[in-house]
Amino acid sequence: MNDGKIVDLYLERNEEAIKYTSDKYGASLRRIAYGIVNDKSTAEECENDTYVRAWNSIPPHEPREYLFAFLARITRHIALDICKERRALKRTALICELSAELEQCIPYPDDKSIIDSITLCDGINKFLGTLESEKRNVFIRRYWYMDSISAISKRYSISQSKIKSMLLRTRNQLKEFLTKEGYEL
Amino acid sequence: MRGKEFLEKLENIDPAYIEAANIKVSKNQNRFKRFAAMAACFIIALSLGVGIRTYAAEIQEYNDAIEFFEDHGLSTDGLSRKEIKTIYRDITTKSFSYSKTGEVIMNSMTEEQIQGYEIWQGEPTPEDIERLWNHKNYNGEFIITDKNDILYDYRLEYADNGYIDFEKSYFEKFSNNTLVWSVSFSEFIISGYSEISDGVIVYGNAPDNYRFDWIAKIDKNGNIIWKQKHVNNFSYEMIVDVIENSEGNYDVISRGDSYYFCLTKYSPTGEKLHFKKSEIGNFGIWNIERFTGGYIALIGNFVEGEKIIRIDSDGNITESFAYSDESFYYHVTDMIEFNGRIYLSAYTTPVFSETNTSFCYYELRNIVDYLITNNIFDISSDELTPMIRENYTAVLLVCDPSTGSPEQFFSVKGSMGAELSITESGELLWDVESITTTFYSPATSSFTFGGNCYIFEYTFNTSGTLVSQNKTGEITNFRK
Repeated sequence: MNDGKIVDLYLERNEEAIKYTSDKYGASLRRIAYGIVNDKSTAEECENDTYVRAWNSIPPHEPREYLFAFLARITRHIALDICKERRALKRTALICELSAELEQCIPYPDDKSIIDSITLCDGINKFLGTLESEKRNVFIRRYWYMDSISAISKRYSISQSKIKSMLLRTRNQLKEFLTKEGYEL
Repeated sequence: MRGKEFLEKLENIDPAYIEAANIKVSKNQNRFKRFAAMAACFIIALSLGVGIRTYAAEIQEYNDAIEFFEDHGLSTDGLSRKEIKTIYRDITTKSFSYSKTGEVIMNSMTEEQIQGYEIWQGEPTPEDIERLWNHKNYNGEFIITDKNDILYDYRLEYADNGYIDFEKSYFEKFSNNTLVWSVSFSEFIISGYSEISDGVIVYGNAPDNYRFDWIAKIDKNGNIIWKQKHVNNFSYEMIVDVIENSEGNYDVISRGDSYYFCLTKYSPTGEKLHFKKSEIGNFGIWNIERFTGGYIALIGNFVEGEKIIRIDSDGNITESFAYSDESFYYHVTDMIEFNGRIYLSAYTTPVFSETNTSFCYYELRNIVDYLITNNIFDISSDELTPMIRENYTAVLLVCDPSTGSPEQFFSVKGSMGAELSITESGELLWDVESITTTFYSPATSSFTFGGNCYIFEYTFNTSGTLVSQNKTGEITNFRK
């Protein structure tokens, strides 16, 4: 069933919407959650919580063109929250690793200035728009989907060393971009 | 800002980028381009266009196989390209006949090793592997359909006013998966139903008033014969079951004010004939079965455990039994009348010692206490499962109907007693869940210990003699 029809079911408050969502995206959402929490049962919880939040937010949202991204964002958020709340020792190792990498993008890591999330997102989106698709996809797989280097390497048939150097260059470019655009973090 | 905050703030990037990064990638594109360039030299000589298309199709199948493996957590380690594609076809066509398929599935479940395979003689059959695959994909529950393919179902509808407000309940009858009829109720949220000789009794609670439930009778053609409030002047009442008695009237079993066991009788036309309430305390009514002269019910709560009570036809409680001894708690899961006796399916767990300091779920307090005291947060199934199996013993108690005293019992170590049922030929079936794999998950909110159980079925003849044991092949979840 296409995404538009699934969204229609949500808008009609037809509970079949959850079933079709689960059939189409359940496995991918579980995979995203599992990549963060590294626990099968917790990943299932994240998936189920995603459906509840989707039900409660469609309407007013109508993500006809980007239903998967809409759901994946919810799942990612829930999974990160779980890691924060439960201090899941099993998974904080990956989050620490990714956080450490991303700190390299922050122009002034010691600056106490607070930046508006929306403004920062605008900046990041602008930056991502300047990248060629392969680099952009690799960056998003690493820092949004939290894939491992080896998983990204398999997915795009690019060597791991090339992935690492691509990410390093992209992070440096992001830092330069944010500095030039005047984002103080 | 720290890197972690930055990681979180990435959440709201353009959804188009998120979707694009999730699109299936045609792998080996670079290699394909190089091959295509080389192959172009041969196109003039032979109809190699066919070869290129064939190669492209092979690449697509391989890509699909890799994506399938990733989606289902299967490892490609040690597998050739051909083997990966063969396993992919073996699973997606539900053939399960390739020798390596079972091994790959099992390896993907190493965190929950299926020790039950040790019970099997020789290699697992395709049916075994298919069942394992179904279970891996969270289909642990096996749906048992009615023999006549008649199914009843109920669902709710909510008003589209921007909030999730109840609007209607629907009760529906299906035959061979086709809707036969549908009945709607706007007065109450359906919580259960009981089949009667000339139709169905449906019941539930009003969305804005818990003081009473509603009850309705629907005939076999889907016509509502009557519907009315079920009122016994409680602050809170909940119908648990409706049973058609030997006189053709309906006995409605309910719980009043979380303190009373209630029996209300209605005639087939909905006239209230009788009401009786009896104090039982804060015990839920978990199960009720018809028995000579009345009923037997399983009541319980998660602090004090379970009790069996016997009720006469007017709703008076005449007997009360609890099962325990110095060393074990008995947890009754099902009961049935058979051969003039009450059969109780149960499992025992040890009485925990007074030195326990944990406040966790009481069945496994000993184990939780051991893990916490020794700072163990990660333990293998090989080590944990024997500990948990030692904690549980399935028991089938055969009890005197008048005193409740067990006259005979059957036990199975490392297991939990489950459902009791009677076959068409009048034999008793006792399902036992044998704990085969377990894992410790302290970070999960809904349970602490998980795993799988294989279901064994024990058959007793009409004399109450055990005649056979059968490994059903069904798997169910273990969650405590």
